[in-house]
Amino acid sequence: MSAPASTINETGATTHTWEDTGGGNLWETTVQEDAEGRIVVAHGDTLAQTIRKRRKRLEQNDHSQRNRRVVRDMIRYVYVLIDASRWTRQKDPVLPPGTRLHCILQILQQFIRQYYDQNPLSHLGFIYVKNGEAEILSPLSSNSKAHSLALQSLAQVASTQTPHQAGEFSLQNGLEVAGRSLGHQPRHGSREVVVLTAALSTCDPGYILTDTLPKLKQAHIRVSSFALSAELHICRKLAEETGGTMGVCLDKAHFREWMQGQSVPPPTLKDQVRELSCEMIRMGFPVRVSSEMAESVHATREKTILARTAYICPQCQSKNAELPVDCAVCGLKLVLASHLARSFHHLFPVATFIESPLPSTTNDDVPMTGIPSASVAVSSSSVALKMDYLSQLDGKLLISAKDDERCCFACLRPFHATAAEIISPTLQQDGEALRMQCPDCQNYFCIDCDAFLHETLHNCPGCLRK
Amino acid sequence: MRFNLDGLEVFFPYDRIYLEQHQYMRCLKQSLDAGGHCLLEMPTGTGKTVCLLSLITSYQYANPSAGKLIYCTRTVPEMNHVMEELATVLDYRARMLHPEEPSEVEITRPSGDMEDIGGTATERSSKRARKVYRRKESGKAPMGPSSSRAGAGGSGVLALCLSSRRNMCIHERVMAESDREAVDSACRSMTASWVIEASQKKPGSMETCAYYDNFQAAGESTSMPSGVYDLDELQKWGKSRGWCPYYLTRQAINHANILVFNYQYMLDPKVAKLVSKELGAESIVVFDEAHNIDSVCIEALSVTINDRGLEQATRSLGRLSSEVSRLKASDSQRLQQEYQNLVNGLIDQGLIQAPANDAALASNVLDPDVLNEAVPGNIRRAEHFVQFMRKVVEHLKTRLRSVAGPTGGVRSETPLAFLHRMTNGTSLETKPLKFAYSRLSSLLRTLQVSNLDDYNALTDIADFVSLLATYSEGVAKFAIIMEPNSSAIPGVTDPVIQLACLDSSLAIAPLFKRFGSVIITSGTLSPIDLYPKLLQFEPCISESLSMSTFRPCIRPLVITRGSDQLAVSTRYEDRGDMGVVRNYGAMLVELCSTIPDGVVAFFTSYSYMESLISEWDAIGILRELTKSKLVFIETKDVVETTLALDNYRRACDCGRGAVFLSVARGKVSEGINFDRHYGRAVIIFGVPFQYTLSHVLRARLEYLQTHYQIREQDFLNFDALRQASQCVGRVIRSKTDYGLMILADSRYTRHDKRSKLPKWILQFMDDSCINLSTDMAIAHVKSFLRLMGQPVDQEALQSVLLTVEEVIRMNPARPTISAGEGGAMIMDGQNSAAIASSSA
Repeated sequence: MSAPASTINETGATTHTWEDTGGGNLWETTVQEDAEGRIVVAHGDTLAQTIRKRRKRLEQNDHSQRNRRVVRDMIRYVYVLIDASRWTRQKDPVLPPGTRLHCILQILQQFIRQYYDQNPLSHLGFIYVKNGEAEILSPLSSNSKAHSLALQSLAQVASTQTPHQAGEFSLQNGLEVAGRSLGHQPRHGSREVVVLTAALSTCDPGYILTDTLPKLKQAHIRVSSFALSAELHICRKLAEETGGTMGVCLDKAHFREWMQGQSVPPPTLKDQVRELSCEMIRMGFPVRVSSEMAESVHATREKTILARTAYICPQCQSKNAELPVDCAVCGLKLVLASHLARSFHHLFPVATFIESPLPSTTNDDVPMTGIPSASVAVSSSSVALKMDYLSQLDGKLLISAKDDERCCFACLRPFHATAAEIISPTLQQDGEALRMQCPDCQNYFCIDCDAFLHETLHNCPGCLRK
Repeated sequence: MRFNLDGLEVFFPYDRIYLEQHQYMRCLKQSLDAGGHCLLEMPTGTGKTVCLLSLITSYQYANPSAGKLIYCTRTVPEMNHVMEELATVLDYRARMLHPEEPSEVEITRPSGDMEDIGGTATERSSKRARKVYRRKESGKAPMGPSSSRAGAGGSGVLALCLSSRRNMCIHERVMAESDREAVDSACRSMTASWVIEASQKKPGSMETCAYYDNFQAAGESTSMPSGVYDLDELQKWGKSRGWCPYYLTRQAINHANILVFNYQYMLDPKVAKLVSKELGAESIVVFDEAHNIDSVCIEALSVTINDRGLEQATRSLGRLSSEVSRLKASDSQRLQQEYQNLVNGLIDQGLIQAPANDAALASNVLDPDVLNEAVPGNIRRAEHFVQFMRKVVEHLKTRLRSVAGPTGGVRSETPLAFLHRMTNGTSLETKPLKFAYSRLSSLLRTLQVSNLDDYNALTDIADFVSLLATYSEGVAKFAIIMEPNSSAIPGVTDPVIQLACLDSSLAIAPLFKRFGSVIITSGTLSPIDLYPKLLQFEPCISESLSMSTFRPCIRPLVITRGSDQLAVSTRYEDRGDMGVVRNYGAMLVELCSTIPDGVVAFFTSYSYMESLISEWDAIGILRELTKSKLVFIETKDVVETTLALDNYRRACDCGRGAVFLSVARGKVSEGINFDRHYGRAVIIFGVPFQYTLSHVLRARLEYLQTHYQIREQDFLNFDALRQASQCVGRVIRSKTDYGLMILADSRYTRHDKRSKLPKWILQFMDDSCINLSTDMAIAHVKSFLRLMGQPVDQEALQSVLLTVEEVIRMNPARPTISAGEGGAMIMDGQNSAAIASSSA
């Protein structure tokens, strides 16, 4: 139809950036008026508030509920359902730059790395939906490179198409395709579908709630959804019914965090715990061999490559290119011991640290015995400060006395961002420092170490030392 | 939760309570103590019903002298909902009072099992579930006869609901009938006194209803055990005993403590006579969802007569006269008997104390003179009366013809003038006219007519003249409006004579006079100061409560301009403007493509909706709309609309998304909820003013202006805004729900309109969401939806709920409340003991 472009602009393909009211207008999204008409900068929270908000959100969203010991599935089969319909071909002011689809693909690239890092024994696959049809982009496998390439190719295809060619989103078709594939996976694994959609309506051939949902429940497939624009009821309903999670995107950082949450294995569904109390899984620990000459080695089931190093399956002696993998010939799961170890940390999570406010420095009544002689002696350039328990090295690093309360237990840095802040407490108002305490060992950690310990290291140094 | 509220122990069936619920109960308590009427506005979805019920039942329990609770609802589903809540409240009380007795439901329900509060972190999945589901899951509170020793509520409460025969009958053949009238007449044909008599004389000669016979046979011993009975339960119980639930309930009304029924049973004088005459003056009357109570009052006293009705009345009269002559030949004694009765006056004649099963008609006229006087001589004889009515009908026909004729046109007359013309034209007197209605019902009974609906038109006319004659003197509280074409279709002549009641206080005045406490409550009563004027009463409490929330779950947006900055409005001058049409269309399309699931759009009238839709179709907007949503349209046909609604819900459920286009004063705007995904947004196009050219409305406005000093514009604004807030109020039904309320008209920015919205909507309306253009509104919508999509913060949710301790703290111990309340001291002691034990 040829209505004026200003009223109905479905295409989203505005030719000029200045005509584009919806996306990327940084001024309008960041500077807003409050109720009294004063101009306020949006997202004007201090760093500490942002972190607090994020932590709170993580706690709410995280179905892993870190501080509880729960049974989790170590082996996961996850399909990510990518909405590639017209809904994701638009720009979104909160997901700059580029279209929503670009943002999805970009974050998924990071997700792939993270997923295999956290779940070395698990499989991942991608499905995309456009024109109401679902297709497998890359099948379930433990090959991260294949996925990366597939996502790149999707991005390329998408950039050549107009939004009109992308058509509608169909949740049911996507779930059916994922369900058919997941249904053949071994029962000891956790079967999951993660739906990433920007669509506000789904065009389905049937009625999801009566046709697809029972099948999903029967196959114990968990459906989690992340909506990029607004909560779609059917997604929430599916998540509730199948034990998945539901998220609505606030901004890009939120999206990334939510995806991070998905890389943590979810707790085993209740009815499944009873069903499969314990099951043995055969695994092989292959031997790495390298030869002078390049040999033909199985890269995937279909493909062989020439390589000089290979892993020999202990069952059938075939050569596989990478680990972990299911043996291309006999299907045995080939892993390294370190893979198993990396998977297990989910079972013994580090307890959530509790925020504990810093004791104020102004009414400092703890008498310090004196500057530790060692630290002063370390460097001649160090300056003994007014507060005699601190010393400064090279203007940056601050070493404190055995004052556990003011320094991070892990990195030994004091809880203030800069030295200036410590020296003059008046400056502290704008940059609030956060201090976390481990509930088990009672040691204090800074916010960076908190994230590092929980997300990467999966160990608490204080607890280990005990 | 069991707590002390200003010296009254309140049994509240949930562990936590909202602040506004506490305030609400306090207001109620104060007005009950003062024995006055009250007006209370509380947002929808905050548990109004449960507050009302738990406070009043607790009050009854504490003061046994307090009368019945009479709870008036608008619809049968609402009635069932009230009964369910009531069962929960009473069950809780019984458990609290007699903890040693085994409870009738397992106490496995989650602790915070309040409609929307429920769902502690442990059962996150069901938390979003609608309250109806929740109730099913958590085990329904017991209905039916109470099994515990002390009876329902721990003190032998009997709670009943009453509805028409169609909803209560258990007779197989009668139930097969479809509409209300058919059920009524089928029932009457088997239970009327003469039928019973005849069958007693000659068994088998007439078909009678076995349930009714059993009920009669049981006689006065038919008392109902204590319990909470909803319609299903009454039917079940009636079936098990073989008693007719309808008559059983009507009899049991006298000793029930709690009655739940339709407005009509209180307001419509015809029905009210039958039901509410024996209700004590100390009873507490509650009108729930009462924002339209003035319209209900007016409708109860208005009569419309048209051509068809008059024709039918003529036919009925013909039938009557032949019946009369037949009876004269066969059984003239009966007519003689009736004549005698009429001489003695209506009271003695037994019209008022007629057997419950016969008195299907009662006078609309409340004038006690009429009841005590003897019926005038000239209409005592049946054939004379038929003649009399013929004259009346003929006269009305002439008037109607003159209205439709070439010299006719719309005419408005006072009742006195109309009556004067009638008495001149027919040489009838005024006085017998007053008796027309009573005389007719007496005749119909004498003639043993059971299918009363055949005589509907005739009774309407009798009603008309009775009302006319009774209220002709003094201040004209009625107006006669004659219009040549009443229907909306132009060019069709369908003349009508309307007897329009102008004073809404007329029907409700007896209630205010008779009952100590009348409580009028709704989600939307703003502006609250107008109701006392309209209904002519002095409320001792009138309060509008705001909503305590843990997040801004409502976002009202006032869109005044389209994306092209052209003002949008449905003002009469603007509505045809192509720019407005296109802007409204673009607004709908854009909103629909940013809002997920269901969207409801209200238009100001059917004709406006139709014209707008056809224009949209022409410029391709509808096609755009169908890309993101399925489109459903409300029509005047109830069946069609129901079907459309059903499919609309399906489309929302399965994720396709749908938009429902409906009319602000239509069926959908009242009583049907668009909560959760069924209505993420409600859009109102325009301000839903009444049709201001309507002559009935004009007459009423004039009346309000001269007698109550309510300015025309004030009333119109009030009426439009209450309609608008009704529409937008559909969107939210619990605090975990969220919704957008979009008011699309430039006139909503004006203070006189905006300030009339309910307080709980205004509380969310800050200056940044008024006077928006479409694209600005879209940005608001997007950010709102993102924010609300985040998981509900359980801690925050719990923080708006008060615990027992907090409630006690809010109620500072005042050992002596007032002089004259001797019991207060003792009760206080009991309460604190009870609270101590419950918290221990």
